[in-house]
Amino acid sequence: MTDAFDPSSRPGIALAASSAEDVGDPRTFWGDAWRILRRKWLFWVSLTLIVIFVTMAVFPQLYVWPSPSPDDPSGLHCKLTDTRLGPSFSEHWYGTDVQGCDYYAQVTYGARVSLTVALFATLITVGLGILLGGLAGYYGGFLDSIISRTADGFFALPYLVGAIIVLSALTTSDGRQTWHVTVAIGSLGWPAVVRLYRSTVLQVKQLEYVQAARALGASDFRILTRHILPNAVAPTLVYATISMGAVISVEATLSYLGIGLPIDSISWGIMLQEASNKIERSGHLLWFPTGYLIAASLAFVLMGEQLREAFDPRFR
Amino acid sequence: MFRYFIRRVIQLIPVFFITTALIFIVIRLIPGDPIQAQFGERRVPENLRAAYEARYHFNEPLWKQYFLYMGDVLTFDLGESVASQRPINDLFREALPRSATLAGMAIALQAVIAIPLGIAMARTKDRFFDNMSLVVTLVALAIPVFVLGLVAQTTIGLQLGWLPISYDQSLKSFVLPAVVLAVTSTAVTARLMRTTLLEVGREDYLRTARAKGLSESRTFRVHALRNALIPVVTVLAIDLGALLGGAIVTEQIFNIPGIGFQITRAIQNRDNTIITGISVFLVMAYLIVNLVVDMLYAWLDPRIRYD
Repeated sequence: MTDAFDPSSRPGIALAASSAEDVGDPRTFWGDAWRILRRKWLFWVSLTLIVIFVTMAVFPQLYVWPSPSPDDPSGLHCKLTDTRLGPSFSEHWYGTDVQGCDYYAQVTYGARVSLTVALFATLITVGLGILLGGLAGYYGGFLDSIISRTADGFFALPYLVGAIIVLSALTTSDGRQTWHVTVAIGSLGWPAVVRLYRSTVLQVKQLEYVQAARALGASDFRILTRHILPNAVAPTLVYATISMGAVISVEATLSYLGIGLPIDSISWGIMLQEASNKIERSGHLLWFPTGYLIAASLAFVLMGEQLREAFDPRFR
Repeated sequence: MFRYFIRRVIQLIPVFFITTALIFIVIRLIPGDPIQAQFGERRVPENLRAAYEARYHFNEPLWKQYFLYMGDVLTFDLGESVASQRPINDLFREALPRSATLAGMAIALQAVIAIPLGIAMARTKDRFFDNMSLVVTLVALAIPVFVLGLVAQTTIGLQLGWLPISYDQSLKSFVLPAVVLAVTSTAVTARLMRTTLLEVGREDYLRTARAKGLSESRTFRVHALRNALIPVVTVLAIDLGALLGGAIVTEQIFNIPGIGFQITRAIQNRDNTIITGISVFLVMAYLIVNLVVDMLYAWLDPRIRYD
């Protein structure tokens, strides 16, 4: 099999075929990865879970009915007399919370904020990481030293301590908002991406086709975006997928500690925080959000591991 | 080896200053007046404000505050709490042994469980035990520590009553938090042990060892296991370093007044000098542990020669 970063595995360029029948059938790096992925059952399991959670976040009305209406603006069918009912098949599948609100609806609506924070925090992380890692790897020298040493510095502070400090600095007198949490998580994750992306850029920039592009007079910007990025991005993509899973868990932890999402948001972390002193008598308040949290987080981590095996030539 | 050591120490210096400066700036960005925070809703008397400013240099420009503080830090003085005027070094003397006990127990558990588990997984590769363990460790990885802590506290602590559910100065009250803390890292370490052992298994020197007629158990013990342990030991050392800085979530759940507990409390009380002091300590601890790990690596693996 070909090396993942081999220029000949770029889309559109035919690969030296290993057997005679393959001649004439152009195979690409991404195509090869797909061929490997579609044979793995774990890939399909994690993909199914991801699709379920994404639709839950985008179209919660597919899972919860009736949808929010003028009579019931939250859509949670709250009835104070129904406080802390246990799960039942007839009315409240997952029981109710202290305010007598339907727990199944809450857990479903919770997917949106968890996934939004995870997506945007990961985008910030990956964006900053690719930008800084690309600059550091491509130009080297003093710029590389500055970026790499700063990244080292970020590693030196424990993640949670860093997140708590950044969150306290971001929080103004109007209270905390969802984007504060997103920015705090995103601004701390980039050093890992810098290390990863920088090292792949260092490998890729030595390759002949990059030299060729430079000889043809391509600008640094063009080389970085059109030639290096598509061939160096695979490991970072794997990292980003796994990081989505990790962020879901970190967000819940911050919310549990009382320094995460605003207290009135519907999120698994907030639900768990409220459940934390009622576990003994109302276990369902803990189990359902936990189950969703673990399933969502695991789905992304598993997907990342499958992608890693599909992209990494050593596993082929 | 010595030259490598010196070179690594010199590399640490800019990292130390960059990190501490970043921390310093971000902490000063925390909105609100740290002096006002000590007086709650009341107005701060002018003379007291002047006294606070003189004592903590809050009115100096940021860069000057930073250099004054670094001067103290280099003489091993981490400053004092704004709220109680207690030296932060005293606070460490109390909190650090608690965090260290917790860390030591958690790491010991991690090593004792993860290494044999990883070996067993590698030896049964792709068979039932291996597959089951891979799934179990993956789920263990995905459970947030606080959920684990809460569940352990309610079931083992409250309902079964086997172990204390919060800190009472006895060694026994560290057991449950240590177990909770060890679960995730045990899962990581066991998987790492499995992977490295399988990778080492493909190395030429193993074939050589077998070819020269060594028994299978000797090949495994002396050639495979020893080499595969190097990255595992590294991870254990790094985890120990990280845990010395306190396990924020676990210490919170089990009420252990260690370093992690102190820093969350300082943030709630807006005690900026404690936040800075603990953060600077954490950075130092991390850098020193990493230096030790690198030296350990060079010493354990004769193929790594840096000078």
